[in-house]
Amino acid sequence: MSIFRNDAYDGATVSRYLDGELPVHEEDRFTAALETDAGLRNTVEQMRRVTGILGTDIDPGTVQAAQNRIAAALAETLRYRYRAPVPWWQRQISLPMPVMAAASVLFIIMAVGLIINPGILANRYYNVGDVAGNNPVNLQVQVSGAESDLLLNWLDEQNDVGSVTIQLPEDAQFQLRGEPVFLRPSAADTDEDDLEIVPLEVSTE
Amino acid sequence: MRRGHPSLSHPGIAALYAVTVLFLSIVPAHGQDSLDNDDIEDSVNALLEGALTVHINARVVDEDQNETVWKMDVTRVTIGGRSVMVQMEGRNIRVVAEFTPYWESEDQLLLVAQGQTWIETERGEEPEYRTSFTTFPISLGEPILFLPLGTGHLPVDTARYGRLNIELEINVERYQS
Repeated sequence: MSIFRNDAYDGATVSRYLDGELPVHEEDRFTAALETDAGLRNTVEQMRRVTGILGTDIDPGTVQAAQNRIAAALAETLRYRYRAPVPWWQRQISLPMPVMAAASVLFIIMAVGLIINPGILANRYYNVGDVAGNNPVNLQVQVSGAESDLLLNWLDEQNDVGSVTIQLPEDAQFQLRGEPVFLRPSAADTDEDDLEIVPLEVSTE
Repeated sequence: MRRGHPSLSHPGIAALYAVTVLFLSIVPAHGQDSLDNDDIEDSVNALLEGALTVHINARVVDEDQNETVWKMDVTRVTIGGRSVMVQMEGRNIRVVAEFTPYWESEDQLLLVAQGQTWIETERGEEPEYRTSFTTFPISLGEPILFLPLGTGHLPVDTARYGRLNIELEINVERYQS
């Protein structure tokens, strides 16, 4: 194959040859060159195949398959970038294995505890007498500062606060001596002194 | 999903969380108990610091013999501003005394006292009514005497029962000394 000859017939010349656009005398020389130059023949054949392919109608099925492949690839990309809302009951989260293990153990312990002692969920009321028996009982009464009135009312109901009624001796009768009076004991003693009977002075005149 | 992180559905996590919270809420926590107990103790102490004990000594005295023929002791608890009412009921008498202590300072009180006396002199007649109202600045532990029948001597020498008088001695002290 002669490099010089190939260079003499570049791609444009070959294309013009294939399209039948070369002048008659150039076409004769090109045809003569083809017989002696295998490289040029090879080049012409390649360009002829390309031209044939370009001139062939595209199969619609092939186009549809290509579109499907592109759409699938695009959808896969969008699925990662823009995830559609997922209902909460279908959501999933990832947890480290130790956390999962600890949660499982805790859940099992709670379940076993509830099975063994279901009363833990219920309020328990005991009769102090039943529980105490002959043992001493230490009761703690919880009272907040704002509930002092309630405490006093409760104590009142227990006869420890508020009013008290005293029954005087049944057979005693009383008489008023004056107005009811409040005194300090020292003042009462003074009153007694004031009430001390002093002998009258008798005039000798 | 990263490797080594198994997935758990959202409802499962929610249920586990709910059960855990429920369990922890019903299991007594000693630290929380001590905190509550401290608060309660503070509240009770604050209440008790202002609480007062009212000692009431009711007695019937024979003034002629200068002796006490009957007596009764009662103690009641109150706080500043709340009254203690004493009712004495006898054959022909009813006495109501109401004592209301108010804190004035660390060991000083203002005692508001009101006494009312209903006495029936003769059967079938309307009972006589007497009342008295006074205030005393007192110290803690200082006694106050209430004489619902008064202090005067009887104008005439009556029978023994007529010589009896009623005394009510009030002593207010701090509940916690």
